[in-house]
Amino acid sequence: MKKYVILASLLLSLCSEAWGECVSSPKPIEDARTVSLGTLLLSASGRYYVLDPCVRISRRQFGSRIKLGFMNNFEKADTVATFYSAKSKRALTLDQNTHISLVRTPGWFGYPTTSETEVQPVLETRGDPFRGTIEQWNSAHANGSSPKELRNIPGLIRPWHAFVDQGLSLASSADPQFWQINPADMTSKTIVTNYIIRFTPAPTNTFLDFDVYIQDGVKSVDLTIISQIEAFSGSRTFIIVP
Amino acid sequence: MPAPIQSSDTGLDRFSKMLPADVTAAFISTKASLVSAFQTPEQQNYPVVISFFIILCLSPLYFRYVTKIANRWHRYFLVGTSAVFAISLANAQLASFLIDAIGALHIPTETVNPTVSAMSAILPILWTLLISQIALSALSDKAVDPGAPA
Repeated sequence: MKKYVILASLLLSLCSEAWGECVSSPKPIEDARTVSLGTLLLSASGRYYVLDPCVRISRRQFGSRIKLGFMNNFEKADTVATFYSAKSKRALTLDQNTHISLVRTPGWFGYPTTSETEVQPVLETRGDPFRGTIEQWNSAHANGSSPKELRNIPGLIRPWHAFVDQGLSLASSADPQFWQINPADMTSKTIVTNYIIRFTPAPTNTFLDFDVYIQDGVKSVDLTIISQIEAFSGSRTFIIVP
Repeated sequence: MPAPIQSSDTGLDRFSKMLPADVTAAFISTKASLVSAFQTPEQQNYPVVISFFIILCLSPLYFRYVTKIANRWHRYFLVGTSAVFAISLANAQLASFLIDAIGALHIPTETVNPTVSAMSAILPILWTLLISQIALSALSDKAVDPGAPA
């Protein structure tokens, strides 16, 4: 009996060494409408999953594009729009040409590239590459500039930062510290994708989502989210397995 | 409610007595109560899975003393059928529970979701359409309670 206990302990410690601490998977739930506000969910094939701080995501099960987001299950409807920002740092196996890409959901208001006139509705962006350097990106975001000042950063294909409404009450550039990218974290095989997701709090139970691509070659994703809604803020790590 | 199989039962009678509708109904109502008591899905996993194990442990006694099924093969099969139906009814809670349990052993859990999903979809069909029929044919004579009232 004693030798079996020793063997089991040995096997357990070997497993622990081999797999580290990140062994959890997305956990399926029956009804996403009742999750606590601010629970990050993964949606796949009509089902929702809750996520531990570090999870292993199987590409075979979830595909090469994962939908992440929050359920809009606020108790009361709000007339004022807000947003949350997400930053995903993906580590890949091959060198990359683009190291920063930009995603913006529909519904934002921004300045055109050159005109000085009023803000107007802007189109969604689905991964515009930023062609400038990380230093250019960081210096543009160093001192709390507004979307108007940030619309012409060298390397930007089209203006990205925007306002949640025409009254300019809340800008996606509001937290300059969040948009800083630490050059020490970046390698030739890393891509940071910045997301801004606009929504109006309401008990609609709609999914406020964004897509993260985990195509072949993506090894891991570090996700950081911030929002004025405290419950939305947090970070996750995804280990991508075939 | 499953009753003892008698030698005079038709094939359909015998088949219906292999399906534990009462235990399955008990699990469905227990699960519904727990889901409404624990409002967030993250809190529901453990209560639902624990209630599943409790019902599974109690079911042999229920079949033996309440439904008066004296034949142990019949009882084993009814317990197995209850488990199959429960896995299908609470697959989300079971998968989450297993991910926690296996993860606690530091073993990767990415195969848990597809395995439980496949089991919950395939097992009830296989069990009802195929395994019950095979068991019925194979155990038909063994499962008959000679002393059961007609």
